[in-house]
Amino acid sequence: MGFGEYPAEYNPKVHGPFDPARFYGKPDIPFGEVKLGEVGSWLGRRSIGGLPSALSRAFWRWQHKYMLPKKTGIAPFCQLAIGAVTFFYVINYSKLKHHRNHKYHW
Amino acid sequence: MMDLFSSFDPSSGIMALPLNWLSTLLGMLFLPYILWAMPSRWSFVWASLLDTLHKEFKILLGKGKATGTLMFVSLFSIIVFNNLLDLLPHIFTSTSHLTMNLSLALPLWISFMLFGWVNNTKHMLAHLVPLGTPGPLMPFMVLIEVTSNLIRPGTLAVRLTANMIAGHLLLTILSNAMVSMSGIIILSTLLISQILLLLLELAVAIIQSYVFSVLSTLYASEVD
Repeated sequence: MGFGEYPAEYNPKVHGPFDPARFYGKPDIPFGEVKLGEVGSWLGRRSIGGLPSALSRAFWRWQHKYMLPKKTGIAPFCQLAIGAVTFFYVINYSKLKHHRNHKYHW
Repeated sequence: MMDLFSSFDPSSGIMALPLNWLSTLLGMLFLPYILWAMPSRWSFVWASLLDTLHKEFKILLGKGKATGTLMFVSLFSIIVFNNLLDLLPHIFTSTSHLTMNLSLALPLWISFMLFGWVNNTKHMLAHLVPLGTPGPLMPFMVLIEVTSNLIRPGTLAVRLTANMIAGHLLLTILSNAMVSMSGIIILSTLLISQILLLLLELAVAIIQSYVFSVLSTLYASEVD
């Protein structure tokens, strides 16, 4: 599975039109139903090479729900804006930390 | 003084890595995708905006040989997204840095100049003297036109940089003043002026990106 290619398990005759939000591999137990003792083996079955495709599927699921419907509202833009603000706040936090002390001096 | 400009610093808090430049790519998340046969409302809005821009730039480029407007419309898109997202708190303004703006303006200008001078040398030389110049004035006009041509990338970049920095700085200074002020009248005056400045910043953000792309279009049309 390379960049810009279909996943290896995708078969147009079986699955129909390609949906970038769908996982086409062998289905595994959803994380919500994994027993506590099985968490280690469940995590062992994941591979770090599948992370980019997982992120891509998450992005497309978000797109399907919020940006692609006929009547989009302002919700996805607000989500993006607040997400971006939080992200940049977090990565700049150590530069902003000293603002706590502003009330103690002028 | 260091605190006023620390919002323009691209180094983030994590080991001083310049992660803040990621805000340049943030605009890409806002772009509409078309998966279904029926596009979304946002797709329609974006497409109509781009359509207006394409038509506008097509008129500016005239009936020359090369009338591709895609580059200028995408230039407008990246600048408008960066400028608008800057208005949100904590998000880094990449277009307030000369590095970013020069890397947008300089390649454009150099490519136009090289193409024009190598391929249409006579045409470009003729452009150096505007229409209707009195005879004795011509040498000085050539000097002036050469100078104006040479500083174009500089003006293009510095205009955008200065506008973004100035607006952002004004808002920061006003907010600093509001924080340390007491007294309801001064506070409400500052509040109203800050809201007005924010509205101005919104307008400036969009206008400046438009100006940048329109001017690059004009510089391109001069070559042909």
